[in-house]
Amino acid sequence: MTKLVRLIDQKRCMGCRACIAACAVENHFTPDAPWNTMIEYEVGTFPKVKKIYNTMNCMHCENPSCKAACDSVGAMAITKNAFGVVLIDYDKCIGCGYCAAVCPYGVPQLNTELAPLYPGKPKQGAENIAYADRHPTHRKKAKVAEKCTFCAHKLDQAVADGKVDRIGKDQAYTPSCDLVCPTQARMFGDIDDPNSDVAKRIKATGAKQLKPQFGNAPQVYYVLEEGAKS
Amino acid sequence: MKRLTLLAALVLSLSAGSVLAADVPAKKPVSAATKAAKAMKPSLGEKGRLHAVHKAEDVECKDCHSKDDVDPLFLRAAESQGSQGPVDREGCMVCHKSPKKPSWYVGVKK
Repeated sequence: MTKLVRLIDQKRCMGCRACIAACAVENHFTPDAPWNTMIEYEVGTFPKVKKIYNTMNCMHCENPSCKAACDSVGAMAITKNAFGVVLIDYDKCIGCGYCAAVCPYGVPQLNTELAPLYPGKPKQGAENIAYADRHPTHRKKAKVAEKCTFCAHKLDQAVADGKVDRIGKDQAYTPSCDLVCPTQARMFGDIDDPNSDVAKRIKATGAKQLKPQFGNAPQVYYVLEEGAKS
Repeated sequence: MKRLTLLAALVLSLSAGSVLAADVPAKKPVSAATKAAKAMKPSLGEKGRLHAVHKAEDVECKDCHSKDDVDPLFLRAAESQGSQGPVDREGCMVCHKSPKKPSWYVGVKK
């Protein structure tokens, strides 16, 4: 089995937000419905204080509460695929927002309106692709929930090219946010492969999942800075 | 003798039943307001189903929307920046751990 996970190292992150910019361009998310956000907060007491940078994106939980809520209202718009990626079907979403209400990480976002990446300026990157030619996760709709997909369009391409083993290694098959980090604070790959870089680093650093009390078992791991909230 | 034994067993079982029944709290009847709220179309809006159901169950706004000790670890841009009304999902589990209430945290044992 291939179980894709992300590792985020708070000790390396300097809060530059390159990951957020990369995601915005790759997935053209709107400010109303960000797929990736930087949370900043301070810990410690003067004079020993420090800033924690905590990027948040979908945790792609083993037990996704968003899916449970979606199923309970009968929409069945949220699925979890063989890689463990949690995806929203925009055609099935009824825009009730229950997924947003129950997610412990506040991940699903209701996109109130479709907006260009740079309002008033020419279309950028993937915005130039015709709607029908886009990956289903990029066929955005107003008033439906959306969120990080682990760049599902790239993962699907890896499957189509028969290069699942290159996920997390080749640019074409790795989420954009993980590619652009200048401090290598982000890593992506298969945790079920004990020889993968991400599996080794999670083991070596003792990386943890956030908010384990909800029992969601996220597939995003954090190397926590001392004093950081978890 | 056989009849007497059967009668004694019947009396015993009935009395035990009443003792057991006394241990189980009376089931709270579902109010008309709750029924009406649950019949609404699912929506997160202020006048939508989610808020209506909680209001019908006598949950005050401030019970969930507290400004104190807000957990910052949310992706939601507005909430994480400390805007009014963030809801700490851990607060949901105070009530929703009850077996009678729905829970979306499937990893949490009730």
